[in-house]
Amino acid sequence: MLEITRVVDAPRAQVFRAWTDPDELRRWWGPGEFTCPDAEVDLRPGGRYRLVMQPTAGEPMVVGGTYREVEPPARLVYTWRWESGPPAGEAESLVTVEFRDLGERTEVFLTHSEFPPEHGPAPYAMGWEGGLDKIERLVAQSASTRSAGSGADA
Amino acid sequence: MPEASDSVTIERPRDEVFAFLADAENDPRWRSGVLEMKRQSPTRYRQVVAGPGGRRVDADIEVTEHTPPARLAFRTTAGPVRPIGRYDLAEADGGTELTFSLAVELRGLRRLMAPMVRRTMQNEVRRLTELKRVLENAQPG
Repeated sequence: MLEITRVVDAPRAQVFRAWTDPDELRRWWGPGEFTCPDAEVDLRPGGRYRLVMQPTAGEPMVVGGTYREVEPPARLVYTWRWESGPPAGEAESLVTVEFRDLGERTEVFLTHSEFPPEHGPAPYAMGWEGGLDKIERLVAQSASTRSAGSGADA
Repeated sequence: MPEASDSVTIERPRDEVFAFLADAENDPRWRSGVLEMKRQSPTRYRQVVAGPGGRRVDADIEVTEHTPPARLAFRTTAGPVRPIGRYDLAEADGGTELTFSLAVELRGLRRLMAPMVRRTMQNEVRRLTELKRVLENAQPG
């Protein structure tokens, strides 16, 4: 099982939206130079999602699954199954994300469990950490855009 | 495939630079991420490096080429990421032009590790500046 905690410099409604809005997901999903050309989200318990991660070279890695719990803006639980990319057969793992309210900031507490033992935690850890780095940059950009906008208004 | 390479000119003779690199037990003197490096046979070393969050990560190596004073190569035989590496040494006006290269092929799920691995390897080869400092400050002997 993998556990990651990260404090993001944005209110949790914004972080929750980044995690669940397809347009937002396309802007950050995947570590580093990976892009997300396609994101589909049906945000309700039993609803499905599908996210494409495109590396700079080679075939895309596609993950999908089903939302088990959806509690905006506090908590998400969803299954995780590789549709293409690593050979995983029908194996499903489980992702739980808690968005803890720190006022203007949010503590993201992520648990990824039940992945096949042969996968090991390292690829998941580096994938999530790389994605969280991009969320941080995204919210920083949003904040600077907002402050530039308010400066123009003044 | 994540790759990283960097070069430095060291104001020491090539034989001396080669001898220093050929004994990997010297590595902790210039590679700050190495927590442990112990020779286990003429070509194998037990290595432990600092992973994310300071976690100890096995990264044993095996020397695959030993061509004094021009080239050393190794491969990593333990750990979640197993790069190959190479030192190329050329004469440079009595000093040594040294190039350190790392590469690793990541397949399947491990492709997710590429961005972080590339960054780590870039930091690793940039440590040549520390090697230069150590060797140029060493007393000839």
